[in-house]
Amino acid sequence: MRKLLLLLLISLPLLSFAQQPTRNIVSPDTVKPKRSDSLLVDTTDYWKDTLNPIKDSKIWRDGEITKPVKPRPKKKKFQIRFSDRIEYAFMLDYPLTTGAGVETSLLFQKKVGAWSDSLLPPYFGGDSTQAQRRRARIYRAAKIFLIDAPLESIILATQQDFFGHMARMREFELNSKYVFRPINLISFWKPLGYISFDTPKIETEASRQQLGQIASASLEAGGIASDLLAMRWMQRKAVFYHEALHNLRLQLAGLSEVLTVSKNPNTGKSSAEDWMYYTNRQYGFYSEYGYTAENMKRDYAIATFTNPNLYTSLYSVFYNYLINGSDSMRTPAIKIGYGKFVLPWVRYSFTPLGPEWVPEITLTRHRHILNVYGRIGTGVFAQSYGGGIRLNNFLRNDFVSLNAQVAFWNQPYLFKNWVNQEILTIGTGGAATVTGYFKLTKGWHFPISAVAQLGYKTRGFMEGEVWQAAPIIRIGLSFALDKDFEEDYNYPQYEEIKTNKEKKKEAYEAKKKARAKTSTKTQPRQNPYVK
Amino acid sequence: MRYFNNIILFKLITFQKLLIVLTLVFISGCKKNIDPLSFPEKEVVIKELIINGNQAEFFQIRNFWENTIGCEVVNQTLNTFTIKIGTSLLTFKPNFTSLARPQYHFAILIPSNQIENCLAWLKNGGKKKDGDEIQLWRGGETNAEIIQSPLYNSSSVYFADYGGNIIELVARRNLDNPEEGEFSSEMFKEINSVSMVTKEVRVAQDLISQNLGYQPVDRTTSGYKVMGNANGLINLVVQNRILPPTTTEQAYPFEMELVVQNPDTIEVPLPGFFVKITTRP
Repeated sequence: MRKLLLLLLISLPLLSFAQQPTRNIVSPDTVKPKRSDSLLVDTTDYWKDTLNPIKDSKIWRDGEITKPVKPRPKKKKFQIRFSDRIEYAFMLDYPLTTGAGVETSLLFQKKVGAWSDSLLPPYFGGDSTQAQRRRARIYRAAKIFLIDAPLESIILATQQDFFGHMARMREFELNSKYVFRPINLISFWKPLGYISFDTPKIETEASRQQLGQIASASLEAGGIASDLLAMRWMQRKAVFYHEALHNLRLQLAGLSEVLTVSKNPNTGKSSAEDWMYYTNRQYGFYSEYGYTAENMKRDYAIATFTNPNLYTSLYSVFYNYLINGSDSMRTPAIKIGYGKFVLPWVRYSFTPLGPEWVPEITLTRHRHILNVYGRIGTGVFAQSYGGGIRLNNFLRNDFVSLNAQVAFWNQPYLFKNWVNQEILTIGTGGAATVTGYFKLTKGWHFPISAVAQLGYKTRGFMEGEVWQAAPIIRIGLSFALDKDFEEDYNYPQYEEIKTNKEKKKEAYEAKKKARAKTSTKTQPRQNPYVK
Repeated sequence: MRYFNNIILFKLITFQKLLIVLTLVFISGCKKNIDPLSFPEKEVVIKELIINGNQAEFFQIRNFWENTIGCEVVNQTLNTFTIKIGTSLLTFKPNFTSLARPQYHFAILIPSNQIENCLAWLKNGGKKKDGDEIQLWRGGETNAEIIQSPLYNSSSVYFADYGGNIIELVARRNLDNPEEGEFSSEMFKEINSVSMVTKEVRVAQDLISQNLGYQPVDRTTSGYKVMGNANGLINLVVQNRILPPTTTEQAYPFEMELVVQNPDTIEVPLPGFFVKITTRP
């Protein structure tokens, strides 16, 4: 495993090739503005206009003067800079936590998708005739189900096993190892391996709450990944097919785990069932569960099927990609202004303190992101609540772009060590982190940044972080792999809004000029025929 | 311009409100001290607990403790019987004074690793394996079978004996007394705590600390004062308070005598008529 990790670290710069877009990426930021507000000039009366002292006004044949048409207020447009590119980071921390792992897994997901597209492009032949389009759809359907979906399954299994379950086991210092299966070409969609551990031993070592946390770590990783993807879609304002497929696979994995929980849960069947079994036991529910399988299925289904990102993924994969052959589409979000969008959704989180509802709202202003979320505990096991704010790209220049995150929570206790149960009192806690992406190169093909995430968290449960109070230190490399903007510094020239003061000043100067023109004596016209 | 000013004002107001709400949330979170309790040094060593049982149910109560729970009857007279619970004794007397069904709460200490086995044992009918399930008192708020008390660092199961008493089987994690093997009443260590109901908790607390030297545990309320430490506790409960873990059962000062270990033999009657502490070397 260590050798594999070393090999990965050595070959890391190979990941930095930016993806070549197959077609023009649909994103409002890359579309040049239309100039629909230009004036039509009456050329027949042009000679009269030349005599007109007032700029832009017209004198008609009957002597009527029309005042100049007031142009529409011009809005300040956003310049997409190098620093606005979405970063795909490879992060390392100790112990390798879910928070860092999910980021890394999404980088590999991106790369695998790009390689898949470079080998087998999403369009097949032309698409000008009906027959060609039909053929292309069959080709894309085959590609989805035979190549892309199995690849996503393998990535998801690695994400959930290595950065989910095993991350929590590393944190709790419980022995486990990843056993690779021999490669089987018949069942090629299956995970590459499985986690091996001594169940009776960890059941005596770890509290039921810890075991519940280990079990739900895959779903926790899924939640973090779906949030990250959704925020990227909002930031980019475009949804990519591979990301949509990954989100769809995540949701499908979660639904299949939760909806198959039996009425009398036992261990070893699915993550959700294990979580339910252990968490109920931690809080003293044995014969009758405080939180039953039915409750869980109902709550999870509500959260999943009201999440707009699920429908975005479905539309992106099955209509936009499969039928239309486009691998990107605009992010459906509520427009609240120029370049300003908002999208709310609700997520369901499996915490060691019981189930939590996570309502979120994401606001974007061009490529700045504000994500505000709450954490509302259902209180079936322990009373808990919390919330937080994520600010992405809040500070950016040619050298660095910064993200920040603040979170708070109120939770009662965490339990460690089942036999001599160690009680960790939490109360009110919080966390704050700042992530900086420092640009190392600025090329099209090797857009590498150094990434550093620094912060601190107090004791308590937070998705992707360790339980104990600890500094958050993550370092790594980051690659801006999307070519979702115009070439650096070749953005169209945009105009800015003028303030009232500036407008007044301009008008005053124009008047001054006009007065100066009228006051100067005009030269009499010379007759060209008279020599 | 006015429009922009209004927006700024609105933003300021909302920001102020947000700040106030956040501060209140923070204060409300900080206010509660939920750290585990720190206990005084001197423990209450309970030698014997003498309580009343309903006269009509007296025979069934003895039968329950002897045959269902499996405790040894060490002494029996015409009117009383005494059973052995670990190192402590539990004596039942019939109540001649009223026809009421007296209800008490006391806790029996079990090994720290046996709480799950204990629950399974109760569910299987105790000593009578595969018998009828012993009636459990579940957590009132959550309906849980095992009740975790992080404040006391313990886990408890509550069951009802034939007389309807609230009997707690408590595993105290910080005592570190694990035992391996199949759970039975032989694993009962001692009577670990007793709830004594009184009208005047503060007066009772002063009487106990003056005469017996037990100190109260900090952060326990004037309606529910705990004295002693994890090895032995007295809970002073104000009359009419709901007895945990139930949501319906009220505390009432039924006749009770608690015999604790002390070099001198003294008697400390608590405010009220029937509740007293006596000592034995």
